Amino acid sequence: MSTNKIITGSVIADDFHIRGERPAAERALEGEPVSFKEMEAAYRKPGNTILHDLFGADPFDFWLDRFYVGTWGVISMIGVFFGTLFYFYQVFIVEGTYNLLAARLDPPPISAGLALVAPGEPGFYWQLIVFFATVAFIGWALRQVDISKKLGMTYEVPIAYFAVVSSWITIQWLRPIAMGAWGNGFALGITHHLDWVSNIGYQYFNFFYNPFHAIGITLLFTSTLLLAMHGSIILMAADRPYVREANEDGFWRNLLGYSIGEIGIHRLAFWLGVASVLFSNLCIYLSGTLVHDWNEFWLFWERFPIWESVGVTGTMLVAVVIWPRAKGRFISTDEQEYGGRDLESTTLQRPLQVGFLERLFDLGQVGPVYLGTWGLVSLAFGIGATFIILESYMAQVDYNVLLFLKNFFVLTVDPPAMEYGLGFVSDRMDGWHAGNDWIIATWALNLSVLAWGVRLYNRAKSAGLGYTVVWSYAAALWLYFVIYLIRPMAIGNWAQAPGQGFEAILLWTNHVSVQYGNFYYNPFHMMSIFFLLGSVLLLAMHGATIVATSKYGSYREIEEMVAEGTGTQRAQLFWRWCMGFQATSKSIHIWLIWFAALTGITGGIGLLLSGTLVHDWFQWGIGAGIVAPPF
Amino acid sequence: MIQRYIGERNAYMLITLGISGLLVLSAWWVIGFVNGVVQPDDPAGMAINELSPLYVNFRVDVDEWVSAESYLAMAAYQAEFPQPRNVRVLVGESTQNINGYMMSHFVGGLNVNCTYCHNINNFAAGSEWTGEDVPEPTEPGAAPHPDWVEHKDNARIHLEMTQDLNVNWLANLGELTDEKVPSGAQIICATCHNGQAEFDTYPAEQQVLPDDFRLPLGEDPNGDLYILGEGEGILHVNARTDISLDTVNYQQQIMYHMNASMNVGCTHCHNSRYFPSNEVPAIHYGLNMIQMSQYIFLTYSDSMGGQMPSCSMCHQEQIIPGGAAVSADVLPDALVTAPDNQMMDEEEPMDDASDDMGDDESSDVSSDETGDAEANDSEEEAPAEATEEAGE
Repeated sequence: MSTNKIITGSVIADDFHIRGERPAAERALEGEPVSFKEMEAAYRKPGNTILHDLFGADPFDFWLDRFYVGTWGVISMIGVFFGTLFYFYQVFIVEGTYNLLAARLDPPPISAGLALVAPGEPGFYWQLIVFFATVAFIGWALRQVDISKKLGMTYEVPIAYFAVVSSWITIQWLRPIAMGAWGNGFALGITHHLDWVSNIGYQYFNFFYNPFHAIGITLLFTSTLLLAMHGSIILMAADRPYVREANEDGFWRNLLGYSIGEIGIHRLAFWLGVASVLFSNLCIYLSGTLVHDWNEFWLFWERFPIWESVGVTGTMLVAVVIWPRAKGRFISTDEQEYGGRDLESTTLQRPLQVGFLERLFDLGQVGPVYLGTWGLVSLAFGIGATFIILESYMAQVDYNVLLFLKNFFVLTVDPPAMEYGLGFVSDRMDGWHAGNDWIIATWALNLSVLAWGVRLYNRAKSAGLGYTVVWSYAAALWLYFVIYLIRPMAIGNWAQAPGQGFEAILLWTNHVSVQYGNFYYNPFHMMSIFFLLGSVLLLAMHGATIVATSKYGSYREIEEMVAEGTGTQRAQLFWRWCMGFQATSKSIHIWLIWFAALTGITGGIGLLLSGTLVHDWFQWGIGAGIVAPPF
Repeated sequence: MIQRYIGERNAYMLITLGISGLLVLSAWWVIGFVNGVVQPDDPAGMAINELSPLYVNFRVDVDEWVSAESYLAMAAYQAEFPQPRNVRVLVGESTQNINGYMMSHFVGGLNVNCTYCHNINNFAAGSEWTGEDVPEPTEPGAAPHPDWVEHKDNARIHLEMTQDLNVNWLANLGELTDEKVPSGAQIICATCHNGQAEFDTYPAEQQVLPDDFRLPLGEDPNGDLYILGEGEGILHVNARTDISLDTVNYQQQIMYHMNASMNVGCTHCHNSRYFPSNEVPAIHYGLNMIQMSQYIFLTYSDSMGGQMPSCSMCHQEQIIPGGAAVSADVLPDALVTAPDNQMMDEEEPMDDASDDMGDDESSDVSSDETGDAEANDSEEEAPAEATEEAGE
């Protein structure tokens, strides 16, 4: 154990054993329990802030109970105070309503351009709120820098936070300035900002075709997936003294063939969270400034020279010249794995006569991946579904490979038409490509994901871990089955399910929202979005915190859960000083899995209600009194 | 290799610079490529100085299309007959006025020579003209288009159609909503033709939409009309349980067709937070226009070779079609007033000859067109003959 660690148990009551005579660190090293408050006192030292560095003094360098104040904190609080004040003034006095949900705080009209409007004119308070909010956000980011400096952390947390602030700056400052009017800014108000999002999305034809929107959304969902995976694996290892990092790595390698490792997952989390925000910035900034039609944008794909004969020749050349050369450099992972003596290697000696089929059916270990019975079932159904779908794609382009590649993202296998209900298309001749292929492929996919769930359970069991990952997976399955199985059955036809294809999923999402009066007013959809964005926030916060304290060993979360080292203490103190409360090494992962799981759970509920019990969410919103007038 | 001569540090700088330059150049190319796709050069914009004051945004180049023979023949005809003969639609105008109209509207709008519809040795000649012998053309350059009789008949129908649409549809726009004032633009030849005598109303390859996409202007399987008829129609999908997502998909394609045709987003007509709401005034115009499209299809499709009108046919990615006339003031009365009023207004002597010169759309297709054209003509004939007699 390195000597720079102070070991505490944060379960110990705060007021236990406060003794001033000897430093907490010394007693901790001797094995004495030290309270959280004592430990905190060891880190609370004035100095080492930005202002100290610049001017040698910081007038607000003190704590108010658990909160660190700091000069930037004071500046931030001024922004918070006035921003909130003007927000409520606009809602209560100017608009004369106490319904905060339905309040609408619009920017000045576009005709006002970039001028500052006078008091009393529409948008005046919006301008004040935006200004003070920006002050508050930037102040808060710099306060995080101060706290990071005090705790000897690197600056990942303020960097991640500033990525989010950059989103606000893009949407409220850069884009309106680029478009020449504050009126293009983001409207405030709890449901009214959803109206703004609706109208911006459809102003440029359809945001689903905005590639940066697509990348941003993909990163949001990937973040949620990673959050669930990371939270699950840590909780699966919690309270199991025999579990080490190797158990986790073995689980993921057996499952997926790869484990990114303890520090790696936090680095990935940090970058993924930041990247999802930055791509979202690009997505909104380009709309209306450079691009006015996101559908038409995709003509670049149609007109790509690669589809011409030159492109074909080039591709062939790559295939003929480069591919065989590159192939020669690959090292068989199979050999590596079997040659090793790690936990995840099933055989200790390098087998001489193990054939592929023997591995598949007997040993179950194929390369780094453990396949096993359920893996094989899952893979077989998955490959079956993929084959059916790809074959139908090919049939749609008359088995022309170039057309297949060109149209890959818009090809789709659609469910049978509405009149066939939950049955097969009866026409024996044309039925297969009229929807029967969809039914078979989707059922194969359903069985595949279920078998994968059993596989998750088995792998967790044999790695000596808990089963949290199975529950997390079940939350995702709930949404999946609502989309592909439960809701179509409740409504009574497969046509309500999305087609199997990239564009088909986006179209389905758009159409379901349009048919049922705008999903933004579906409260469960609101919750699902809240948890989705919350997941990304948590992922970035957790990843950044751990990376920022990784030099103190905080990433070794399994060990830190048993005995907190200085890294984990700094991580906890950071959030305690910043926002007043903190999680522990274990409890943060409980937050993680619930945010990720609730994304799927609430989303599934919201979808299941649409078209069964509720047919028009906007009208529901009017009834619930959450829609901003006029309507 | 190279670092031996210039040192490792310099070689590193050189290679870095080279790679950076390559990246900058390729980025330049990508931006240029995407830009070229997103904002292709606008041919109308290139010739902005040649825009005719008659049109909203349309280039007319008469000299390119009218041959010297046609000019001479027209001058001779005008000198011989100061009052036109055999005119059916543009009643009440002198030959000179009609010639001017022919040049700016037909030649300019369709990019055709006079011979497309006329025998230039007798501009009044047509399928129904029996007043004089029709001489055969003497010079090859002045030879009429083989289908000129058919073209002329069709041109008359379309001239009546523009009058019909201006009077019965465009004039209504001002009454639909108080919150929007119509531009006053009027339908004329170039509004649909856009410099082409014959054209497909839908492009062969429709961006994003399936290539066989058509507006729902015909009848649904039950024989009802989707848009003008009773019931909810296909445009309304909100909160309906009797339709599938396929119907929603089709409705969204219709909407996207309008988007792309006018180069506007959904928010041009909708508050997107709730599509069925009628808060945005332009939605009333859009509905009126798609109803007009259905009316065109049901009434005039025979003269369009059976083709179905599209929004893009006229709008050409502009909110006000570039080929429209800027206002009713610049058009002959005959095109912007109802036939009845027009009859009462008209008192001056008139008769004879040549009306329309160019137009047509017809040729695209149909063999039974001539028959229909005649049928339409016969309706018009009574008043036309009446005026002729009055004039004489």
